[in-house]
Amino acid sequence: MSTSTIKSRPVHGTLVPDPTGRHHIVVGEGPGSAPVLRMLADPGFPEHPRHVLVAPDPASGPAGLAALSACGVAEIVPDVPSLLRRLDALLGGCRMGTRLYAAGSESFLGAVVKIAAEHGLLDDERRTEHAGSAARRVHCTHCRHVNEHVTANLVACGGCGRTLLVRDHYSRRLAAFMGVQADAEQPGATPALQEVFP
Amino acid sequence: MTIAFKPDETYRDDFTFRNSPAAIRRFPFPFGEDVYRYAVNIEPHVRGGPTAAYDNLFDIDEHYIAECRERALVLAHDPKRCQALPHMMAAQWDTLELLMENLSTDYPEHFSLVRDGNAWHWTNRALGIEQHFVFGDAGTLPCEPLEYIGRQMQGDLTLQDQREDNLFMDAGMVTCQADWSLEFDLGMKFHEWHGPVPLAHEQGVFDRALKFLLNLQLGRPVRRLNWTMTINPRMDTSPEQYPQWGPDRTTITPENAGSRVHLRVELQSLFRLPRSNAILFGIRCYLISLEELATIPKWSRRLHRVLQTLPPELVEYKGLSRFRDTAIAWLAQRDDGAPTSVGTAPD
Amino acid sequence: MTPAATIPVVVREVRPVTPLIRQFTLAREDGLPLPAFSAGAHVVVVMPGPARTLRNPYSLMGTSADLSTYDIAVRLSETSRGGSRFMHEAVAPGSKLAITPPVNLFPLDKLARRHLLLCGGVGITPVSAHVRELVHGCVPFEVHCGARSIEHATLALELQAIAPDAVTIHLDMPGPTMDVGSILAEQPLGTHLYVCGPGGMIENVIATARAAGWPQSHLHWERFTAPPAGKPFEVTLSRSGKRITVPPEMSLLEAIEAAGVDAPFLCRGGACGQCETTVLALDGTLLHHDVYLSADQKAAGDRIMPCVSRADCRTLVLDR
Repeated sequence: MSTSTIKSRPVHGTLVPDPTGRHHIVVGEGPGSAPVLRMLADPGFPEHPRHVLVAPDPASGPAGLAALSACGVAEIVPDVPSLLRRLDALLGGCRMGTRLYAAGSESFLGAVVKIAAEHGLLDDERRTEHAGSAARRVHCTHCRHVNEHVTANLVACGGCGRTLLVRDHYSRRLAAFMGVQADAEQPGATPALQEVFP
Repeated sequence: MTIAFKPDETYRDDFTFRNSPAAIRRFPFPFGEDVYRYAVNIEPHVRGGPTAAYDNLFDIDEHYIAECRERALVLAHDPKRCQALPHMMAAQWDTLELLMENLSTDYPEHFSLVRDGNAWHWTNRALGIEQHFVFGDAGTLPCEPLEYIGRQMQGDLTLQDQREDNLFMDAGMVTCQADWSLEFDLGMKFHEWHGPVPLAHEQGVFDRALKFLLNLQLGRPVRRLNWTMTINPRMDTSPEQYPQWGPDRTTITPENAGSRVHLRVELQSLFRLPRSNAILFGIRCYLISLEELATIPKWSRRLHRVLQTLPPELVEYKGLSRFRDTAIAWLAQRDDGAPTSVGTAPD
Repeated sequence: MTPAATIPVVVREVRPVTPLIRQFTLAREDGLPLPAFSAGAHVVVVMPGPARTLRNPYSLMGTSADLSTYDIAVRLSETSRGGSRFMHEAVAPGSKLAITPPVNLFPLDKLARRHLLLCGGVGITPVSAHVRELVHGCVPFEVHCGARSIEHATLALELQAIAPDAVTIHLDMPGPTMDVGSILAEQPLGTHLYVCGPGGMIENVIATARAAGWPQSHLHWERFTAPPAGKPFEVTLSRSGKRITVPPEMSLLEAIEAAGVDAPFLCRGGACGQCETTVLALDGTLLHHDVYLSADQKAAGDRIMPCVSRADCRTLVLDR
């Protein structure tokens, strides 16, 4: 088992307005506020109803959102869990024609996409842009513990203590990457530790 | 014909699984020529083929009872090896119907199905099971239909829902897999669950295969073979259990390669299901040791030649790196360079 | 894939349901149960026409709960190329026909949070099956049936009896009264839209949905169009070594079949892609009528969907 060029991992794009939508929901986390601001300023962004929700990320805090709060169109939510709850409630009242845009860390985007899917949003109704941390949520295949904020190719599993190798294989249902024991074949023979998802 | 089952065989611990000479001759050997060549190799899944393993749409052999017991052990340890998303109930019943119909028709000595409208009576004499139930009413079975029938089958089953011009792996019973995880892959699209496979994406293999499968027709199943190699006759080589079987790969020596290195072949079959419009994917796994394989000289010669020409990416992906050379050396002693006949059937 | 083996059936009952539509109840000749199917599936009925074999797709209207018979409904087409006229004039109880096993190119999306079904005229047939399935589930649904007048609305009234709260009937008086725009405007997120009816209705509904911001992934439609007639043309079938002429009222696929060459098909309406055939040589223009090939693929001129498309050419060589 090793990491490789695996096709299941999410591919994020650049946030640009979807002119075919009739109602737009934009969510951002921390450094994701920059793509959100850029899109709001896009002259092509339709004048349709819109909701903009942004939460600080733990690393940069509310200070990172100063530019966005200054422009007055975004609602600043205290933290990501509150934002996700707000998004869930908001989508529950939306009609067909809604488009969802999200910018933030890999984990944030995974959580947003999972909520969107639960409301029946399909791939052509949402757009994502990665901004900030590339840290991954890693699902331990052996004990099923989910390890948050993994920045290296190896992680000591918080559930079973095994050293996991983080594979590129990604599950949208679990919103997590796959982790398998790195030295199962030869105890102690792990690859070199590398900070690959800063 | 009554099958002489070998109920006491094991696929773990003392590994007493062996193939009888008859089981060796019916092995679905996968290589039709002396070099490795990747091909989509999908063909109609019709009765009859190079060996007796192809005689029925769902093959039952001498390992049936032992394999069902192994499956029960895996499920007892990890119930998540059988999962179905809620919208797959119709596909579960379709699967149960297809399997019960085929088993009772093809192996009447061992299985029978009596239907009176929706009141069904199923008998599995091999496992000593008798069940009256109402087709379509899951409350009349001891567990959900996929798990009920899956526990009485050799081989893994996955169910694919068809929507968004794609296939989604939304249910399955998977206990004898070659290093993939149902818990992780559940809900994935076709290209996502094939994500880890090297080389084939670039060749457009999965695009073509998906297009083909989206139009798969009722009553016209198709099949293909896949293969890898496993140390010991171990059915459960799941990622979940990798810590248990991974170390086996370092234990191969010239002395034990013949008995411990196994060729693992999956006879994969795909069926359109009627009520759900889903696709059933059957993955029937066959294991054979190099020693058993070498009783058919054509097969050991050919496996030797194929292993030598396998691309490095596939050696890595199939997990052969640690023992391929030892296996090749063992096979080399049994390859006199003689030509082999065309096709996969034994000489 | 070659065409599936057909199932010999006998007509048990013929029921005129509207001035233009007849419903046919089919059973297997050997008395065995018919194959189970999913809502939205169709079969291709093979009819022994006077001059040639006719093959038309018709949706199955019932459910798999009773597989002793299948029900289909056939609208007499003013421009019938033979199929619907044959069904209306030459088929009676006891008539023998053959059908292909069911194929579903118009299924319900199993993860939809709501289903919205719009149909017009005989386009109600697959929706009849959808509604009979949906009434047993817990996902909300809403159906709008358009009909010319009350005597053309028999099948819609039957559906309304099954699901009174979900089915609305819109009678033309004198023009269409279904307000598609307002129906589509108020649908909750996760709704899937299904349309079956005359070509113009499908185009109107889909265009309205797109304008209201509905994404492609939530739009489903099924159009049973007769292959368009055209000028006769000659074709060489290279694999089978045959040279055939496609008459004006026959499709290319039908001409290939009439020549005794097996060709794959599923929808016979230019939608599924199953009959895609490689063009090996062409001196002239392909007249693409399918909705399967992309504009680029059509322009490339290296493949054709023979169930609906034709050619205006001196030479056409197909890999068939």
